[in-house]
Amino acid sequence: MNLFTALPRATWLIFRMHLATTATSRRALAGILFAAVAPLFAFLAVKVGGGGDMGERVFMFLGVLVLLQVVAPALGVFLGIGAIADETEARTITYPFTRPIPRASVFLGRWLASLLVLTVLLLSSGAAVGMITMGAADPPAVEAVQALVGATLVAGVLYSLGAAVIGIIFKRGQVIALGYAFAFEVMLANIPGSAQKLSLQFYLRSLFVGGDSANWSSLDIFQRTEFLEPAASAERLLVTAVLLLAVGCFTVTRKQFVLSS
Amino acid sequence: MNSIIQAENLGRWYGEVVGLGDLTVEIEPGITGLVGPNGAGKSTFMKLMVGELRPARGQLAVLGEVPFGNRGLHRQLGFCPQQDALYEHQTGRQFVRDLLRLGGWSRREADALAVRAMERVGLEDAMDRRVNGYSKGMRQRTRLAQAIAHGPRLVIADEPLTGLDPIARRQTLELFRGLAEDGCSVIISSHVLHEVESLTETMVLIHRGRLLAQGSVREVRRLISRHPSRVELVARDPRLLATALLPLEHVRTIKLGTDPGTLTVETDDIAAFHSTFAGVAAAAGAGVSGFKSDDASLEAVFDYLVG
Repeated sequence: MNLFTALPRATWLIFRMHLATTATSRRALAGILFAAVAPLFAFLAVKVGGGGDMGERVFMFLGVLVLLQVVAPALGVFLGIGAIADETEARTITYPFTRPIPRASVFLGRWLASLLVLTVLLLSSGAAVGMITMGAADPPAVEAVQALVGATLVAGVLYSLGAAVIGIIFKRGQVIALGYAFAFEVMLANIPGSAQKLSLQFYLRSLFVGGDSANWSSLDIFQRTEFLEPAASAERLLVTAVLLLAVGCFTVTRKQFVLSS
Repeated sequence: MNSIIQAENLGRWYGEVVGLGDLTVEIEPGITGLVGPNGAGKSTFMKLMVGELRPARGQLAVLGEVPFGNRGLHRQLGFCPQQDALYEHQTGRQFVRDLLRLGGWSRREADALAVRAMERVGLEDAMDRRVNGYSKGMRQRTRLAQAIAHGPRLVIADEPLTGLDPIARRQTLELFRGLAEDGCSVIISSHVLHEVESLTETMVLIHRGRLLAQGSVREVRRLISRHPSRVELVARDPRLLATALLPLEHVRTIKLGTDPGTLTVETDDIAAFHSTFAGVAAAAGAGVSGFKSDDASLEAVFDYLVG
């Protein structure tokens, strides 16, 4: 079996082997709690906090500052980091690596299992925020809710993939990935100027708010930012994802994992 | 006969720590025991053989091929790792079956092979239980089952007898003999000489990452017997005892120790020394209060061999 037929088959088998474990892992259970944060805030803002007449503002605020900037990166890192790191930590990586399969399939299969769980969590979270705020006065448009859910899912892909790659390269990958997501990214994404373009958040926000920044301007705590058109942003995010996939596959193929006995 | 393993000046470091120094060895088909004290480099050598690690220096060929990332070779290899790690959420049968499926077997074939492998290691009654409820010995046998299930040409097992009770140990030794009869080569590592001795005539001794000796157990024992055995003694009057022992034919050297009352005797024939010592010591009246022969452990043997 050549590489191009062996890779998808082995990826599928690894994905199936690990899907149930990933879905019932402590990471996923913690993820459920975390995914509930944004809907909970939306509920409190709309029903308790006097935001019942400004659904769109609550939606935008939670969409950008909670879902895109906190929940999606956090869940992405927590679930993505384990793709290879969990196998190394459990010292089970010997088994797939001594089988006649491409090593990259272990990375891909396990990451895809994490991604499926992550997608369900983010989809639920984003949809719940949308539904709660749409029930308030001055609700967000359906298209805005769809854009938010879409951008959140893309964020999940990118952050989980980045974390999975970091988990291959570094032993204490989680600290590095969290540091990147919550220190480096947050700082870059929120300082005025073109430095924002160095962060994933800029492109994710571009997907969400659209090129005219009309939605974004409703958040008057921020300066006006010139975002990209969603299509241009999606293109750059796709290139980033492909690069991360390639780096992950290459690194896992070449790297030696030294396990203690 | 073609060698199944050819290692030439093989070396592997873990940072500053030497896992394998400079190993040159060829291993022939059949059962081979890889023996050495803890930290000798056995596990590192095995991880290199199965392609889990790459050599830092030197060459290694397994079944004529470079092992790291070699999918074709992995089809012919079975590896039973030392670390006690399994996919804890699975049953023993699922564990073996899923790993077989990665080798290209269909679900039905993989399941049949998994059941057969679990039977061969004596776990047929427990194979549908989750592995996190297995005893240490059962977990060891499950690791062994995944290594043999696909009918490999070469099985490499790292300390496979560790943690097994006497019955399971006997069954496992029988299993290895059965594999060899079926034409499969087996390399097992151990730091206990007699474990390997009961299984094979062929052994490779490594110590501090280097080949120390290779051959049949008898040959290696002969090699070992040519080296002096050491006995540490404690006596009220060590000089008197030394004077009494020195004329014995098999006593090579005697050194007085730095601690009061101690002396170390080197002998060419430890058995003869044991039989004559008591009489000589009693006749001398040197007041012997301590006797320690350090040739019992394999590690001591290795220490002798490496000087």
